[in-house]
Amino acid sequence: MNQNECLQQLQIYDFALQEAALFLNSHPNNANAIQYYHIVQEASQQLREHYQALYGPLSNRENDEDRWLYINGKWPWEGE
Amino acid sequence: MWTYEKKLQFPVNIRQSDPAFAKIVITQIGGPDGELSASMRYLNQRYSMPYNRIRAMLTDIGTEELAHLEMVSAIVYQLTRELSVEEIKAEGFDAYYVDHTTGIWPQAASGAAFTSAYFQSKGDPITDLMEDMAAEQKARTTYENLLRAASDPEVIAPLKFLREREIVHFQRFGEALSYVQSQLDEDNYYRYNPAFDPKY
Repeated sequence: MNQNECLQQLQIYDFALQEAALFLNSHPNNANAIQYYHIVQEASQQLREHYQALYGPLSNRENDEDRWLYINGKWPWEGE
Repeated sequence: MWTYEKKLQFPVNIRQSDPAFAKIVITQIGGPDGELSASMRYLNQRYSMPYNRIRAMLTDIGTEELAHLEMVSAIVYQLTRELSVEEIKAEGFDAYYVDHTTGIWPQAASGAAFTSAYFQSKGDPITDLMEDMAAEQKARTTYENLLRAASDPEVIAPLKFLREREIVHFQRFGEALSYVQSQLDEDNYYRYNPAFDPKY
């Protein structure tokens, strides 16, 4: 996966988590939904770590390197 | 994109209601120098800012302002809990109450509705950063005016925190302005607008 493909997959996971969260807010006891949420949450966390190790931080709370990389690279509104 | 964290940036725990103070502190929600105006100012200015470090600054300060909006909203909420209609009338909160009950709605202390006319996004880095520095000073003055009128230590603590943030943001925007100037023609900062004019 190149950077754009990796980012797109993260967007897919994030969107799935958001959809599951909205559903769970109104259906907090739905066992299938919470199971689905956990599967996507796990996959999302793994891919997020992978993405950030290769391409830098996605937020100002996740700059793990000794250098400040958060400001580098394109900003999301610039397009690909 | 954004995600929400279920915590305040600084705690707000006010036990004693005070609708008269709620009526004036609400200006930091929806008033001319309030937190909603601050957040919208910086988040809208980001797009035309050509420098990465200042894109980051506008993004992060604009985001922090949303956390401040939440803090001031928590203050107004806690100041207007468990009120009787008699208390509301006695403390002059009745005009707000009739339109919003005790719901949170962005308005100035005068009652004027929030409007984007409270801020500018000019598409010129020097102009926008000058506006940002002035905005932080205006918000500092507003918090100082509020602190002079406050007596409850539980109200004063979060207001003092918010006032201090205005000073820190002013400092950061000053550094941003210096950086922009360092990137421009040192003989004439206004020779071109780096957010609009073709590459010099």
